Amino acid sequence: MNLSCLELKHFRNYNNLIINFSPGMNIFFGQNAQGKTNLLEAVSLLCLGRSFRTRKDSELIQWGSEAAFVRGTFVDNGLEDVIEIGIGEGQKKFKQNGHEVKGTALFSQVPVVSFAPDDLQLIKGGPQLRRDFLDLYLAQLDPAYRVTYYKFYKILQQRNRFLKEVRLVNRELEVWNEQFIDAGLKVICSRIQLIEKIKPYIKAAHEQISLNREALNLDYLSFGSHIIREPDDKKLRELFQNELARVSREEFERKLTLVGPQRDDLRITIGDQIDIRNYGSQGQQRTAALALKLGMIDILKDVREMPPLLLLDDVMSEFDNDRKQALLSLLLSSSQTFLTSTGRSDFPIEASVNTVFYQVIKGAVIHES
Amino acid sequence: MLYPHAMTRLIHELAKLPGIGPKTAQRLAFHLLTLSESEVGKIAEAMLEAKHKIGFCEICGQLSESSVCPICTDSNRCNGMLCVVEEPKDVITLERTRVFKGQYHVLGGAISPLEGTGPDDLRIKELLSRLQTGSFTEVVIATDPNVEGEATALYLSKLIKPLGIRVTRLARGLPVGGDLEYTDEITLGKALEGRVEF
Ligand SMILES: Nc1ncnc2c1ncn2[C@@H]1O[C@H](COP(=O)(O)OP(=O)(O)O)[C@@H](O)[C@H]1O
Ligand SMILES: [Mg+2]
Ligand SMILES: [Zn+2]
Repeated sequence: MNLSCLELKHFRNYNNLIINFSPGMNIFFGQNAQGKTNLLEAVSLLCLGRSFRTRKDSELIQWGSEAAFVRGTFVDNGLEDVIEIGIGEGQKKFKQNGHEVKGTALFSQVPVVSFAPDDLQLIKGGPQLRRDFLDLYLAQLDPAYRVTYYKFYKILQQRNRFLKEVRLVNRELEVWNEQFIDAGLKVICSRIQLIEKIKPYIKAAHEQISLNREALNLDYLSFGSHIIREPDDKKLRELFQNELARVSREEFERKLTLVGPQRDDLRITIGDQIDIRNYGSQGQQRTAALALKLGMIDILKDVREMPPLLLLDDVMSEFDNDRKQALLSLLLSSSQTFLTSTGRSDFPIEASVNTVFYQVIKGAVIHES
Repeated sequence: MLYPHAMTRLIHELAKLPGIGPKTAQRLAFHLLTLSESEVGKIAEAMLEAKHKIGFCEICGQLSESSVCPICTDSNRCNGMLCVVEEPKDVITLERTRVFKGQYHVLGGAISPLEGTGPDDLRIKELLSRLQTGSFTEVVIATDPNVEGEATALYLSKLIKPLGIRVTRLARGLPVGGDLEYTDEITLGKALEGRVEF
């Protein structure tokens, strides 16, 4: 499956753009703030139904416009699929081949993995980033996860609203707890099962790129730093109940749900259980972040039985020349790729049918011939 | 891939037609396979012939086998009134009433930013040049009474009024033969707003 054509209207700094892609490597270069990342963002929107860099859809609408519109033509085995997405203030419309569909329908279409300099924050940053990472890729591996998560999220919002409205410790919370625990456990168990699935892929990717061949390990942290490896419903339910009871008074004081998957974390360790977030060197952290993404490419290939589209935003300049060459030859032999860079010289390769260069200047894209 | 590729392709293409979901597409595809080759050929030919022979009228944008459609060439029709519609099929619907005797202009859709349709995607430039060179004294805007149609009507009226041409909108109101009691509030409200002098 590859994206053969992209059309943008009033999307970010693109007023009106139609561009054809190569099924191989598509390289966008140009100075800062010209619209390179915006292009990758549009591709991610077509694959995921949401942007890879913001959760606020309205940011995508060109300033001063009413709505943004993105149309993409995907080709698979000679068959074309046209996906259209319209984003207005507070509304979003999806179409597939002219028929209106739900956003969730897109999720199971085209897998995508993105790389950005910010990826280091996956290791160094707060738990929210790691949860987002998990949720985004789990939903691509198992479309049902998105539904599970959404159900949980709605109950969480209700429970938080309840906590905000009541003044005193209130027995009615128990009504919410039951549903909250049910939905929360489903999310936790899905995450644990999927982490066990992705672990070997990420370990393998890490082994390939790390210099010291240290073993990388992932663990799910729940209920205030309990490491949880088995989705044992009974045990977890008890733990969940106890934790909720323990923080009950504090929840009423702070008017916020303090236990559940919305506060969990993914712990990443190397070697002998060394927490890489706090004790890893910059180099180790960078390698681990890259392994997380590379591992996702491999598992998506296996599970979805098609290679994911790859989006690489501004990551070339971080590599030395040898690594650049290695990465480029890896990309040339894999799936459709979209890369951005400020320098044309970051790419020591020739243009060809499979490698196309585009210059991006102020929301216009020039096909380099 | 469960079906042979040619079958998958047929279902895929049929499912792109409006109102046809994947299940119906599958049923149609199976049906087509049971037909004789000449039957299938007739269907395919009819589609291609329609596509080859039918274009759009250069003046009004209506479907037409010649470069200018019969309505635009009909000298008996009044040249002072122009009715603006969204789609070619709207012209047919209005013609069936036999009430309107003026000219038509087909926009080819309505303004809908969410669907990527802006003013530039419609035949608005053509409309304005027709109004500037023709002898029209009134434009009747007959776009659909929904959000997109209303937005388009408003947009057009703002462009046309400065030309000194009267702009009117199709009235919305009670269905003929209907019962006041059974009319929904929106229709009734619009009918009140659009009431006319006896
Ligand atoms: N909603 C928006 N409407 C119009 N312009 C926008 C919008 N969001 C971002 N921009 C502009 O897009 C540019 C940034 O594009 P980006 O793709 O991030 O640049 P780069 O080429 O450095 O990757 C900036 O000039 C910014 O002002
Ligand atoms: Mg950028
Ligand atoms: Zn005509």
